[in-house]
Amino acid sequence: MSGPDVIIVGAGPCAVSAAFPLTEAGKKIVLVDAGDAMPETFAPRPDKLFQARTGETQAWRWLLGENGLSRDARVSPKLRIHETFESRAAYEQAQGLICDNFIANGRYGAGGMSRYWGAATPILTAQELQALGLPAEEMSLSYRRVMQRIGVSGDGQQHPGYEQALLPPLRLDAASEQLLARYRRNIPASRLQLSKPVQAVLSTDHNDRRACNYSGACLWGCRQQSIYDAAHDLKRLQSYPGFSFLPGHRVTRISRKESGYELAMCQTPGNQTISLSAPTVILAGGAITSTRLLLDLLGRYNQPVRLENTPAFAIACLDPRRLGAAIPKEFFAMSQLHMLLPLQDNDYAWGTLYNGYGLAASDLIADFGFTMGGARKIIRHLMPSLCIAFFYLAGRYSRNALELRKMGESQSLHIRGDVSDGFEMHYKKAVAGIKKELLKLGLIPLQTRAYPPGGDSHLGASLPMGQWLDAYGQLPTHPGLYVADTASLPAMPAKHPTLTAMANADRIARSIIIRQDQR
Amino acid sequence: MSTPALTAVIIVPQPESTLNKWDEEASVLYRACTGLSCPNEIISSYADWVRNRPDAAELPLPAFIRRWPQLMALCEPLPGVNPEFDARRAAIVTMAESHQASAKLFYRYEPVPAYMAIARVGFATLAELLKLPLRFCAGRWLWT
Repeated sequence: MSGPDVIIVGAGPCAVSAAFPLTEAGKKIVLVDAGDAMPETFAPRPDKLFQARTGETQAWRWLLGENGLSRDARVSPKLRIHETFESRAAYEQAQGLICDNFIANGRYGAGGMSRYWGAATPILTAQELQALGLPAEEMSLSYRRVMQRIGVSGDGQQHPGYEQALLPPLRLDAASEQLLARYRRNIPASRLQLSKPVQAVLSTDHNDRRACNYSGACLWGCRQQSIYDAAHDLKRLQSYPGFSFLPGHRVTRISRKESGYELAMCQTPGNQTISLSAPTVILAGGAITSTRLLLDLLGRYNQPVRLENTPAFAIACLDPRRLGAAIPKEFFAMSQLHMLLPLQDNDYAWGTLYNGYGLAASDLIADFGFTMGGARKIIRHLMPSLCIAFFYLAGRYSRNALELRKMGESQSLHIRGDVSDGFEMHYKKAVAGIKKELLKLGLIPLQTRAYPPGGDSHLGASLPMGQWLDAYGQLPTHPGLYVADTASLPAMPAKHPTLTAMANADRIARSIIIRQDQR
Repeated sequence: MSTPALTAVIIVPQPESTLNKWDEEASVLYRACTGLSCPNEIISSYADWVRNRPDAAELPLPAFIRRWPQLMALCEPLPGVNPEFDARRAAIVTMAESHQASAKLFYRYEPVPAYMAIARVGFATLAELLKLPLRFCAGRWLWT
């Protein structure tokens, strides 16, 4: 029996995006991942948020974790849902990660980080792609293919060229509709640009997934499977004859062989070591995993490399026009609107607006500093009129160093988080500008919180195309070895990078098909 | 009159039970947060949760707080004074938020007139601000 044509490392959005074109082209693919054997489904829970909050006495476990040790208020709320706790700890342990002022979010297993992402999938414009160093035409084609596969909803009129690829936008709730109407009346005076979101959430049924039912429990996991999760794609891929999924195998080392590459893998659990070879290998297991494997292959130990994240901050706001309003019984609890504030030198801060009532009250109470009883009473009345604006700056404002250290036979991965020179001034200007614009829209900014490096979970550009890799993600000194996740992006844009990284993975996979067919 | 029989009583030393301390702790914190008496599910959840923490020691709850948990509102430590208290406060609030006995105290699904919402928020905020000096002093003295 012949071996695979291509081995893909990882089981997240980029890995499946690379796997689809190759599998459809009839290539034999093995997708290797350290995580669980089968894509798990979220544990059954009540449909409506009200029931989830009141009818399930064990709901606290989803917010605190089984042992309560993992509650980390410094990361995005969606990273604190039940599934995150164990997977983050397992990931850190397996990677031997030692972080200094850095939060390294990662997850093994089918679906990867898309098991609990915010599902915002902004499309970069042609100019933004060019500025990033990505070919706009090829990316545009790949964007469309990926969007049609995963189901992306958004307003087609705002995204010329993508009308056919977009599902109708999700229904906004009353608070966001009112805010958008205020913005449209105020457009000439507003520097902040508001738009309906583009997100990987279904507004209509798509394949075997169902449209959003506005349960409001998005941060607790979507029972409808309306929010895209790469595990959905993995299930579909398993129906192709040339595709096989090898879970429970953590790739520990890649070595070059005459006919291609050999991957040494450690079975989990059991720690038995096996190997697998193929002429082509695609690394798509996330920036940290891919960078680690590549540094080891190149023998580049004890030398730090740059790892970008998109510095993030949240501004809690009060909409006084909503005071006295009730929490709606049906709503979509993730980003309601997308926002962009132009800054100097063609730069911008990009953000998403969440309604306060999609979050857990306990999270807001913890931040208040008042007594438990007092904060509870205040939050109860303020919650329907609260909203949280999450903003991100481009990756060049981060200055994190990733270093693979080797002492004898043992290796450890060190990440030191930092921000670039001039970041503080840039950050302050961005925050002040955003607050001013929010005030113009009638929102009162209450509290601003900056996330520490890595808290945004948008990590990448550690092996950028054009420097480490060629224009199609291939390591020039190692033909047949590709990187197709956020690590290969030339830089991290302020806009959420997942869709762009998925489209890039699609583009890389198609280039592999052409190269293999030419041989 | 018969002579009472002599009975030998053997006292077996019992390991110090921490579970009861946590039961009481859960009741006090829950009542301070919601004003309600603590449901049994929350007591057992809280005890399970604390038992798994690396610092599972008892919180230094003053005697008068044990007796009148509502007084916690006057001396609840400010965030950061006692990190373990902060963690347990967050835990009990989360448990209270997701229990049907108290969830409605956290979320309002019926509209109220805006002036009423403003008045309630204003009054609660003012009360909290007035408590701050006392919490600052008493909190540091009692909880560190």
